[in-house]
Amino acid sequence: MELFRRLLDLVGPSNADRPAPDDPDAPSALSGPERLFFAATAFLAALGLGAVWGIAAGSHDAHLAVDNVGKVPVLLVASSLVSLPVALLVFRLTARQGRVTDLLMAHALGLFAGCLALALLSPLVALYQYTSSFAGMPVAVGSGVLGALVALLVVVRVIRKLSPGLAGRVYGAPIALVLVLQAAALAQLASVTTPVFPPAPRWGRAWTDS
Amino acid sequence: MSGAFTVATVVAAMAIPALGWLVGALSRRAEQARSRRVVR
Repeated sequence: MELFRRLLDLVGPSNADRPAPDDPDAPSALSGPERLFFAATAFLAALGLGAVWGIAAGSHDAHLAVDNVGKVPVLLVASSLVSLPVALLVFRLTARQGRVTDLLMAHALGLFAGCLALALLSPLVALYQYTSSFAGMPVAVGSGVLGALVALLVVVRVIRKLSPGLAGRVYGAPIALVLVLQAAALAQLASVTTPVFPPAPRWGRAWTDS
Repeated sequence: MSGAFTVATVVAAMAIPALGWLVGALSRRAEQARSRRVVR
C-alpha cells in the first residue's frame, strides 16, 4: 500500500510540485535506481489495471472477458516497446540536458494513471455492456479515450515535476513521438487481433429476418 | 490470430517477467538510495 501511495503521490498534484530544497521525497531528488524502480512498478501496475478494464469491456461475453485479461496487457506492452526506443533515441540525439530515466518514469506513470482511470470506470463499462446493446460500445470506447487523456496529462505533469524548467524544451519532441507511435501501434495491433469489445448490434436485422 | 499479434504476445510474455525481476532487483537499491538521502 505504501508503494501504491507513493505512485499516487508521484502522479498527483502533491506538495512535491514545489518541494522544499531538502525534501528527500521530492520527485526531482530521486536517484536513477529509484526512478527505474518506480517506472517498472508503475508499468506492471498499469498492466494489471488494464486487464481489469479488459474484463469489463468484454463482460458481455465470458470468453471475450477472459481473452481480454491477456490481450489488453499485450497491447500495452507491445505498443510501448514499439514507441519507447525511438523516442529515447530522439531524446539522446537532441537533448543536452535531462535524463532518460525521466522519460521512462513519465511514460510509465502516465500509463499507470490512465489505466487506473480505466479500472475505476470498469464498473460503469461492465454495467452498460450487460444492460445496453446500444450504449455499451460508446461507453467502453469513451472510457478508453478518457484513460488516454488522463495518461497524457499525467505524463506532462510528471515530466514537469522531475525536471522543473526543462520540460517543454527538452522533452517535448520525445513525448510527442511516444504518443504518436504508441497510438499508431496500439490501433494497428488491435485491428489484427480479435476484438476487445463485443461486436456492435446490427440494427434492422430483426425486421429483415421476420 | 494474426502472426504479428502472436509475436507481440511472445514478446510481452518475456517482457512482463523481466519487469518483475527488475522491480525485485531495484527495490533494495532504491531503498538504500532513499535512506542515504534521508540521512544527509
